[in-house]
Amino acid sequence: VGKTVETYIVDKKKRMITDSRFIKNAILKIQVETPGTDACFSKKAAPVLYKNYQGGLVLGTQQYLPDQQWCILTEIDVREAFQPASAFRTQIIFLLIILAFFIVFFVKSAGKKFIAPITMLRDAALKVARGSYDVQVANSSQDEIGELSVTFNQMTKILASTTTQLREKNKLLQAQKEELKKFDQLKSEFVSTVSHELRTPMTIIKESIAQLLEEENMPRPEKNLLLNMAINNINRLANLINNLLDLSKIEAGKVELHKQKFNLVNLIQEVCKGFELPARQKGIDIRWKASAEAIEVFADPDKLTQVFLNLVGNSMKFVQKGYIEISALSENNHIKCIVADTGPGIGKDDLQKVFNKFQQFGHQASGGVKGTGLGLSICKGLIDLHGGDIWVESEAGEGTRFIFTLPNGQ
Amino acid sequence: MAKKILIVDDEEGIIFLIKRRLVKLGYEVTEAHNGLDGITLAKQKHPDLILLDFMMPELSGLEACRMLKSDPQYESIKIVLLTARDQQKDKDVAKEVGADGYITKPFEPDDLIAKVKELIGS
Repeated sequence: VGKTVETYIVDKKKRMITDSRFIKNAILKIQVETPGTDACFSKKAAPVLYKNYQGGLVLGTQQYLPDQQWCILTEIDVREAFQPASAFRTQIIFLLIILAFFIVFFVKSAGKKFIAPITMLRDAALKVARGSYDVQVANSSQDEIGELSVTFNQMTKILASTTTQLREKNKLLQAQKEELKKFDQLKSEFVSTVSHELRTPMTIIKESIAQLLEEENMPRPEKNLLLNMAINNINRLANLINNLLDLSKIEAGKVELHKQKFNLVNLIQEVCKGFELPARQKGIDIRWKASAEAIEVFADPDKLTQVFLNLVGNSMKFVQKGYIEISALSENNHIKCIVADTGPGIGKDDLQKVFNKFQQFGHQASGGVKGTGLGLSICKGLIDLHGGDIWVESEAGEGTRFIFTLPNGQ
Repeated sequence: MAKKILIVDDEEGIIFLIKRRLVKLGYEVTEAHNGLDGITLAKQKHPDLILLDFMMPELSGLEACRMLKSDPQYESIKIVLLTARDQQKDKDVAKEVGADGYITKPFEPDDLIAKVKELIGS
């Protein structure tokens, strides 16, 4: 029994008739006027807590003994009665404090665990928004956030590759656009140049005929001069038109080669013969040499003649003294032809442009004789058609060598 | 005193024919075959008018015109550009560089003479 538990009996006059546990010689000496005794004798429900005969707050129970008209009371000091509860309360408070610590710790670590990856995802998303698609977030967990990270990484990978593809496509389109623009520019330059090349001889023809018509009494030599000018420029115009048609046929792939086996040396001799008279008149030497008496080629003789006429004709315009030499060599798997001259040569800057359309160089040096600027483009087109190569070697003041190759055999 | 005209063109035939016509009309005519020689002659002879071809080697007529028109000493020389291209763009550029006239090849002889007379008189 607890330290403060006491059971005692009071008679109907509410005098203690048993010994008090705490007060000596208490029998009949202590008047017990407490809510406990009041309730017991009036047979009412007593309060659980009340002040006992010593004035201390107690927890009590009462039982009325009707035969003796006594009341038996058992009381316990409220502090002792509630001592386990209070100890329990202390424990609870202690536990609550520990729990609070745990909660704070948990929230903090959970914050680290849940918020840190979300912050990382947010930062990564911002980087993606700014255009850097090579962002990957670390995936540290297996939960929804981990899944989100994996999905995010997949998304950035797809975005990165799609963006790269788009950029490449864009680049390609841009390049095509530039190409088209360049092509358009070239086309309009070409039209403008053709117009210039056609109008120039037309001007001379028109003006010389106009003057012939205006001056009825023009002396014969002057008349002849103007008529010759008109005829020469009509020829120039016809030549230009023929060349333009040839070139457009070559470029459109509409030129058919009529290939056959023949001796190239014979063809070269024929070409040289054709130039003998104008060469003699100009005081230059025209000659040929070959690595063998007969060099057999499989080619279109007409087209090959056209190439030689263009190349030798070109040299004729520029060479003032010296020679023009055509050579043919049979090499390993091809035949090499060279048209070399002792003309003024071509400067480094112009060398790459000689095969371009309407490129005319140094016609000052050619004594003002103008070509169409298409001859070499046609040569290149025809040699390309034969599956050969054509190029030029020259230096200003050192003469020029046009070289082309033809494949051997069939 | 005869008015002086300089013809600058890389086409011998055109120079010959224009010169022949202008000389018959009493003009004193000199010739150059490219833009650079044209500039040199223009500075030497100080002509009243230059007939200047648009497309030429060495120095284009356009550049030659720009150079002369931007030099206070020679800006008073009348310049007529001759062109065989006939593009609006070229006409605009000719105006920009200060050319006093623009004639497209092949030209009507009367148009050329009228332009010359308009600019420097007979």
